Amino acid sequence: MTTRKRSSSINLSRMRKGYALKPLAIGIASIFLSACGGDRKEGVIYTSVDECLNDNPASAAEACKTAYQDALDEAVRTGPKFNSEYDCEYEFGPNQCRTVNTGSGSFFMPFMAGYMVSNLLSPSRYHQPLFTSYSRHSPFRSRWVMSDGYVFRGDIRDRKYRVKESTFSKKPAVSRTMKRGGFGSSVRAKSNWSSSSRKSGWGG
Amino acid sequence: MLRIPIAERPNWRQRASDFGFHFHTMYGQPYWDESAYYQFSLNQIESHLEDPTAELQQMCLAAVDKVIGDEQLLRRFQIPELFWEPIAASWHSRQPSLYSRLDLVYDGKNPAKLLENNADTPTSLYESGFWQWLWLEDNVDKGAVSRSADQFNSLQEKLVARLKNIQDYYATDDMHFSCCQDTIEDRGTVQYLQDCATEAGIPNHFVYVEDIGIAETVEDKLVFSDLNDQPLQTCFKLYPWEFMLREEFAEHIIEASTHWIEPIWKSILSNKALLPLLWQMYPNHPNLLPAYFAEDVKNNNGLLSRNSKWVHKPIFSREGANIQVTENGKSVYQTDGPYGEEGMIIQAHHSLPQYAENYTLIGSWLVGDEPAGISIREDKSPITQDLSRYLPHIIL
Repeated sequence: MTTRKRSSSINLSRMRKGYALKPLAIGIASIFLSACGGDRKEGVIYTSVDECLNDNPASAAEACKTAYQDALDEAVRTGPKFNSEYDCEYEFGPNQCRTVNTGSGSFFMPFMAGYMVSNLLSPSRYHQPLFTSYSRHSPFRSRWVMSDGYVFRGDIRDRKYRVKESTFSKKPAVSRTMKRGGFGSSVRAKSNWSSSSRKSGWGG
Repeated sequence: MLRIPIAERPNWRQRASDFGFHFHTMYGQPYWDESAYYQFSLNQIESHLEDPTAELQQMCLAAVDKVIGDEQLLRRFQIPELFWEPIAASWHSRQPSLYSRLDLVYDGKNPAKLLENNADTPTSLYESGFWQWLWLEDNVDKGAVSRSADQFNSLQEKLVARLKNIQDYYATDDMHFSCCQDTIEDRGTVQYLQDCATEAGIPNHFVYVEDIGIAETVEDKLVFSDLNDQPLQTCFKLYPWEFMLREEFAEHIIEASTHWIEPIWKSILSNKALLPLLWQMYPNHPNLLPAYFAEDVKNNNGLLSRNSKWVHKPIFSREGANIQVTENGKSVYQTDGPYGEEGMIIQAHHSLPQYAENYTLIGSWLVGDEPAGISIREDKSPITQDLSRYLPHIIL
């Protein structure tokens, strides 16, 4: 055969997906968990600083804020990271991921969905960032999960839950969006007939 | 053209996971099927599939040229009048298309017949351009397939080059890629195109169709925008033009400065009204099946009932929805679905060839106007729907 009829070379390493980095915080998380297991310390999950403030005496205000900020920083450092937005969204759901730039490069990771605190008013305060998934493909769906993949028993819907707008880090805007959602209505209309058996795309 | 059973690669599911191929099994049923492959001769590929694909594409472009200037045809194609001018402008400035897939009936001997042209939102691109390519590499490496085997599949190479051309044509800094929420297959297809864009050195971003906004730039011009309020300079959408032209944002399409891939003139190619028009323009062409507008033959009982079998298709149908097969005027097969209000066409029924009790359909890919490879789908049912399985192929 003189000429090949297929792509001559494909860079396989660039086509590879999946976790780009192993979570770094397994050690920390295990200590935290074993503390939970041994002394039965109570960990409380908040989805926002306000929830924490409303649930604690006024003297805890500063601790609520600091714990939240520390958890956020921790989330960037230890949370799951992916090479592609697609893989991140496959695990955590549509629009649940953001880009982060670390010393090792640029990655996609889920937003922190909540944080767990323990011993809020003591100097040995614990805090941990938590994530949850909106993807039906994920074992994390509607459950609390830690950076190392530990999944808490129970359901996230037992709590009041909302995505914190403030965790969305937006790039500087060059334009002002006046309206969204003007495309996609035909899909909603035409999906009804087949939604009982399956939901599929609009590609041919 | 043979169907040859072969052992699956033992680790292929792990490999799929490594490469982010998440939709190899859908709705609990296998979609990617490597328990067999199809083998073609080089002559079958070049003379029976590649050359006719190039010729069919030229015929389709001639049909677009005819529709653009013909009010009656524009109505028959259900193109809203507001868009006649923009479509003509897009066509006359030769806005570049990215890719298409022609669905062909081919049995290894007789001329391939065009069933339809998926010119706007074809999927199964990743499995064709990359995954079946990798399957061949793996099987040649372990000696399960001959070293001299090839594959008709230059999709990835051509997509990378074409995206670069399109970037140059629009002088765009970056590209957005878009599909609807909640479909992993479409998201996978779009991610693959993003991978190709990355390979071409084009910065790329993703936004869901439902999240697209309409924005004002600092110069008070309209542009579509993503969730970060960034303008869509050039946007690939895996979303049909026939929907976009009828939705709330339709009115902004003309004024907004966003360039779309595929370009708006492709709304004519992806339309099943193309089939009767092609038959009118090229009657008895060996790669075409007889086709008519249903309303033209409605009172022609002879045509429909005389010892003949016809497939009735809505002008905008997808995934084999709302198809009816009639034999001697009586319905013998029917699928349901939401389409049909926009008018129907009929096409002479042509049986798909059967291999080991499967009905086999060939997808023949074009990047720009160049043939770029094939994909093979098998179905237990005579009308291919989106639950059909995908099988790899080789040339030997």
